Amino acid sequence: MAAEVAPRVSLTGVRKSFGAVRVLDDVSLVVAPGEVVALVGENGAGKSTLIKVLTGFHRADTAVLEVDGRPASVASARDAEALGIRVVHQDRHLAGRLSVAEQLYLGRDEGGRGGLVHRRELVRRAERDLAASVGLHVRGDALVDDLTVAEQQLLQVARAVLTRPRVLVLDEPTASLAAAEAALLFDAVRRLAAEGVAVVYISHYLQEVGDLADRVLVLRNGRTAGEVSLRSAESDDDGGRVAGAERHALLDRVVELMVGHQVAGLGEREQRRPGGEPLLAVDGLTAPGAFTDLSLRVLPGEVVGVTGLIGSGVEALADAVTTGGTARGAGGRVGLGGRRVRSRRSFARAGGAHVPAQRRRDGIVVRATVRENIGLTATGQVSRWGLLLPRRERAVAERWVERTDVRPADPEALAGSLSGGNQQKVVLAKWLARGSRLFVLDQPTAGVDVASREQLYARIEEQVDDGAGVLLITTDLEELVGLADRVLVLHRGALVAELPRAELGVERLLAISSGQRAGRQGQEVPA
Amino acid sequence: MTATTERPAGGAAPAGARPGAERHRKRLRPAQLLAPLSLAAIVVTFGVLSENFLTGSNLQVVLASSALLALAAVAMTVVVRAGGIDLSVGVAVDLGAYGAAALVAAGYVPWVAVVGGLLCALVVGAVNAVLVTVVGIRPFLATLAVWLIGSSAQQLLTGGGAPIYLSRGETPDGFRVLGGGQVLGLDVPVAAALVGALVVAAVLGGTVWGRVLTAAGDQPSATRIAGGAAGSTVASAYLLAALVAGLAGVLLASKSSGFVPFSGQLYVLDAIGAVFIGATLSRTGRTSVVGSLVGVLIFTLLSNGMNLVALSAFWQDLARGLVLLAVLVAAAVLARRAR
Repeated sequence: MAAEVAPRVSLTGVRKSFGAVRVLDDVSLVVAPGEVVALVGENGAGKSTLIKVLTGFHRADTAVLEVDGRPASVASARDAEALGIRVVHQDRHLAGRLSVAEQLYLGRDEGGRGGLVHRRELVRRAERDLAASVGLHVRGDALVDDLTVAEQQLLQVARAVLTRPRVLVLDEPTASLAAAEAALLFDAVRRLAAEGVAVVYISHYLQEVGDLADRVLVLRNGRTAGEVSLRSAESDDDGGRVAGAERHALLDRVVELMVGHQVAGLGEREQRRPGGEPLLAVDGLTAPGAFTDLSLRVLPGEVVGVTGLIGSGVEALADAVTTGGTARGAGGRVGLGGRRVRSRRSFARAGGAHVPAQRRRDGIVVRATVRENIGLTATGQVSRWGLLLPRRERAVAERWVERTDVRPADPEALAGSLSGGNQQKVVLAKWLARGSRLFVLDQPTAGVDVASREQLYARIEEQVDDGAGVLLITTDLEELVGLADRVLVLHRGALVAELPRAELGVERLLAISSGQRAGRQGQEVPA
Repeated sequence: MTATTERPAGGAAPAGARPGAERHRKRLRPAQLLAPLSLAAIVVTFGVLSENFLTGSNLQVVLASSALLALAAVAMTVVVRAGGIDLSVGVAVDLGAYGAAALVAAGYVPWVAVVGGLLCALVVGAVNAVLVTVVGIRPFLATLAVWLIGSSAQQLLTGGGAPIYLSRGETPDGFRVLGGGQVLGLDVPVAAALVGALVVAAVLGGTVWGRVLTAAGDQPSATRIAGGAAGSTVASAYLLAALVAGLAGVLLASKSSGFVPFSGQLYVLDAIGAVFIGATLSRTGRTSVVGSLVGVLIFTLLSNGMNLVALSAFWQDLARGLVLLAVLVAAAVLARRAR
């Protein structure tokens, strides 16, 4: 044996083309046992394709794979699993009607004798396993469908962790997680790395990357743009990783590599002066199981942020507002531009726009083209007497594709074929095309790359400067600090704080939403 | 905290083509050619095997015999596009035929018989619409139940399944012409099927209603959130389908001079097959009127050709099943390879 430990996984010289388009050109991914390598790059840089090659979903044109120094090949997901390569995908592949326990052990032999499963035993074991592996506390017999998005995500991670992988790939695992849940996940990742698992971590959140990774591999346009090591020879703290200003500088370098040029910081924004009659008036809104008696106002020219942990009720807010509290068991009153919201349709008619959290399910029609998606919402602009005006529709679609910089700039592209960031641009574009004045944005930049995110923010700010109102519901605290004029914090189904722009800060928001301040000390996320 | 310095300035994304950009270009996938190629293969095969196949009079026979299946398939297209399936489409055909035949037999003028037949068929659509969109039963199960109930209803209405015969004398010419007349050189049922297909195609492709219907069929929640009236649109899809199927029923009553229970049921499975063969014409597997008509032609030409070469009836369903399977399997294989 060589003196040096062989890499746990070494995938080198990967080339892959789709038709005439080369999406990966001589890219290599090498991870040592116990190492955490972050894989970053903008949407379309080739991260997903590289992972799909590693897991046998795509066949590379050329590639050399070695696992623990031995040549290996993967032609299918099963091969990858046999080698101990596990992936947690960004979109949750869960069977909603299974119980948590069933889902957790799905496809694994968790047998009692003769294929019979001891149900109650299984449920208890699932609860223990979830708590131990990712710190998730949910009932083992709850339905997967009834979990929040974040809980589903953690369940997915737990599923992979429980198979004792040798290589674990996490694709945007925190996109839907609030800070406290993400911390649970990080702990799990660190534990796995300490046990010698090679971890590949794909994320748009560079701060997480800085907290977690030993090394950052940056892809750009299908090539390796560069590598940045976050390990330090001198430091022994934090597992020998760089910290403080040095880390900051290295992450800035990562961003440069990602976008291919030096980036300028986002300047401090002036305090807006919203005024006039409220655009959105929410009174005594109640969503069963989520929050009760919630009231808020959004004025023209104002961005009102709302945040909270899982279980605080934030997940249910967008739906409750856009349906006017008319769901079963719900109550309250929602007024938009002086008109009462009684349904999603009346919300849209009154000038409301809803950018939902589950983009692929609720935001776009994936099998329809970008043009059709825009036309579906901007009906008033593209039809007369119920008849579609094809030329008008095409022109409207082209205009908004250009203004929101959807790529490719092709209105006939299928919406589902676009990257996450570009899908979100389409979602925003369709409401902009309709001329909406009040935007309810639910986790608008989850899984969206840095550049697209910036463009989305710019479009939103234009609207706000023009007198539109925004209700920004997000667990991304930096996004809130950057964008909101004031922020409401939900905790356990009630508003516990309202902070004006001057008092906003990530740490402060985190402290309040986790219940450390505002008189609710030491409360945990409901188990 | 790293704050916002990680974000580049607005619009600063790298210019130039990204890898993958060209993948989105609209281009024909091989799978989209399957149905047209099958159609061509059938034409060539039977053209070689039988000298009577590619003759004007035979093609007229083919068109005439595909008209009612075409209408049933158009009806099915609408419902499948709305995310459902309609097993009761044959019941709508039958009730359309029953209503028209019964009214003619009772001495009503032709237009009353036609309208009456269509209204009978609409009852089927209305029940389906309520079951699927209000009660929330899955389309397959809801329309299965309606199919069973409708079959029984026909027997009860006709005293145990006795056909209604319309003698030449008691049938007004105005009603007979629907099944046996000609307009612009086409049989009336063929012309009616063409008009029906054109209207439905235009409504599906050229109206907001059709856009909402298509979106709701794929993703109801996204459609509702987008501001579309998903529920009422899907409900109206079942009504439209029943109306089109009812038209087929009225034509059938005239063509066959009466009403024979369960004759509409023959169309259900062929219509489903035709619709899904036709869906392979679209790059996203979306059903379309044109595609369904291609599917109908495949089935009808196949049956006609097999009759001409005197293939035993025992083999014919096998052959049709194989053609359907071949197209769908090939489409699935090609879709997998395109990944």
